Amino acid sequence: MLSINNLETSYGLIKALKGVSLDAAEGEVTCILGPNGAGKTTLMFTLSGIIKPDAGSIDFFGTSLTGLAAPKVLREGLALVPENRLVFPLMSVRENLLAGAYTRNRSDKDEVEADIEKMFARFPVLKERQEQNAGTLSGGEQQMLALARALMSRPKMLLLDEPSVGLAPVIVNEVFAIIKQLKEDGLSIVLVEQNVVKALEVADHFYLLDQGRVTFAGTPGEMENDDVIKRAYLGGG
Amino acid sequence: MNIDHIDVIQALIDGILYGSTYALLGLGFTLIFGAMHKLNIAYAASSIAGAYVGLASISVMAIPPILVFFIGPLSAGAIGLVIYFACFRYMPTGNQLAPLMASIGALFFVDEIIIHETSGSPLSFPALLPDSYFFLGQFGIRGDLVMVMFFSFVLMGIVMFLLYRTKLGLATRATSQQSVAALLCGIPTHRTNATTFVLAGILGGFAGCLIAAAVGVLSPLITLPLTIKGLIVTVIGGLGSIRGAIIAGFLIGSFENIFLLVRGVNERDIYVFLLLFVFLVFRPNGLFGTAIDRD
Repeated sequence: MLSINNLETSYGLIKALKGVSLDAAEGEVTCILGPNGAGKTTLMFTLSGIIKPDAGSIDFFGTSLTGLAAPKVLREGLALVPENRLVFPLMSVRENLLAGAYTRNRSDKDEVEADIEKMFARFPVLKERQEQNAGTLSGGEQQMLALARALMSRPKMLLLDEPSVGLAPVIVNEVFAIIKQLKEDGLSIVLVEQNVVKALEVADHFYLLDQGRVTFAGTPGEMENDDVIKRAYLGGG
Repeated sequence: MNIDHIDVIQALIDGILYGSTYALLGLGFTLIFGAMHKLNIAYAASSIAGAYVGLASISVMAIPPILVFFIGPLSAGAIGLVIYFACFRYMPTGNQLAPLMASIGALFFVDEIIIHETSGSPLSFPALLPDSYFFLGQFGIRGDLVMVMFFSFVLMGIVMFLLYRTKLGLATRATSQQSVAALLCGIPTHRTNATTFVLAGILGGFAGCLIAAAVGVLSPLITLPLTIKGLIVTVIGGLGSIRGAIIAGFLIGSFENIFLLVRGVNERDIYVFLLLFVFLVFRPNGLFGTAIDRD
């Protein structure tokens, strides 16, 4: 499991995370909610080693990830699907998937190929477009590709940063169907999401992040009964 | 002076043959620009410096002169790595000007070292195929320039293979297109960029040796014109376009030889630089520039 303790991260003089503590259990979907600027993406970038924290600790299945560089974090089995997908626009869909398998050994070549076929089975649209440059895909297709690319490293836990942002409702449903499938397959997921209604369908635990601090932690039931969250996120009076 | 079509075609042949070295330099500039989205102005100077190290080692040690074509490129690769660490690796990523100015500084630094060590005088350089000259119909062909072109194509082929058929190339292209995503895929982007500088350096070292072999001498006077021509090739080809850099290299080579024929050696470069302005005004993205930026 992933255990974060008092994590602090800053951009220059601005402190974006002011002591965040949270746990994400194995086999569960842990959802992090929060308004824009709450520090969600900073948290994802700190966890995956893109940004170094000032203080605090990140523990992942008994290994400390605190301050590790991104490639090492991935090798420990923690993969991030970043906000806005960030596919490699001038590389084909297949090459994007191969890049996702970068940390795997050359001797795994056959297994990597088999995994690519598995991705094509899970995301049939990627199979159709496998020789096409990723930059020519639609937003939804790029999201599928970013997901598949992260899965190619065979992670123990997947961090998903706002996978539904900017996508049409039909596509959002598709993305969440895939998240459900991945959960059923036993993958642990940390989901950053603004779409609370959809998040409620999959999440086992919720954290609310506001101005760099965790202001709520609880189960979906507890969250639905919390007056503040109800008003802010679920539109209830 | 009377210029007939035979002269023009002869100039074109020589220009295209010699232009292959410009294509190599343009390819090196483009590789580095692709990796960091920054220009390394010191590139041509470090390429020539590599050729100098090769030349120095064959004159100091009792080894066959042909080894200059191995030691030169390898030295240029090492110099490329030094330039990477000195001018690019630790510069703030958001600051475009800092590495640009640093690499301009490195250009003059390298140039001054060469001038200091050689007292500024040109040194003769071993030819690839001495005294080989043959006729193809009415046109005279310099055998050594054919060799220059041959080796240029071999090198371009190797670079293409590395870029599009190997894991290293995949990492290089991924880093170039989306460096954050490359990190998230586990690609050590700093090491990948360092490797690109070494590879581009080796390529430049070869180009430097081939140019020196074609001219017959190595002189510190050629670093600045080569820098500018390499940049022109890169811009005309379209910043970041490998195909463009190669085609533009041949284009500049033939252009400059036509102007050499028509207007003489004193005016030649004026027209080459004019061509740069024509492109910047009418086709600022170059021949194959893409509108796709990294997001």
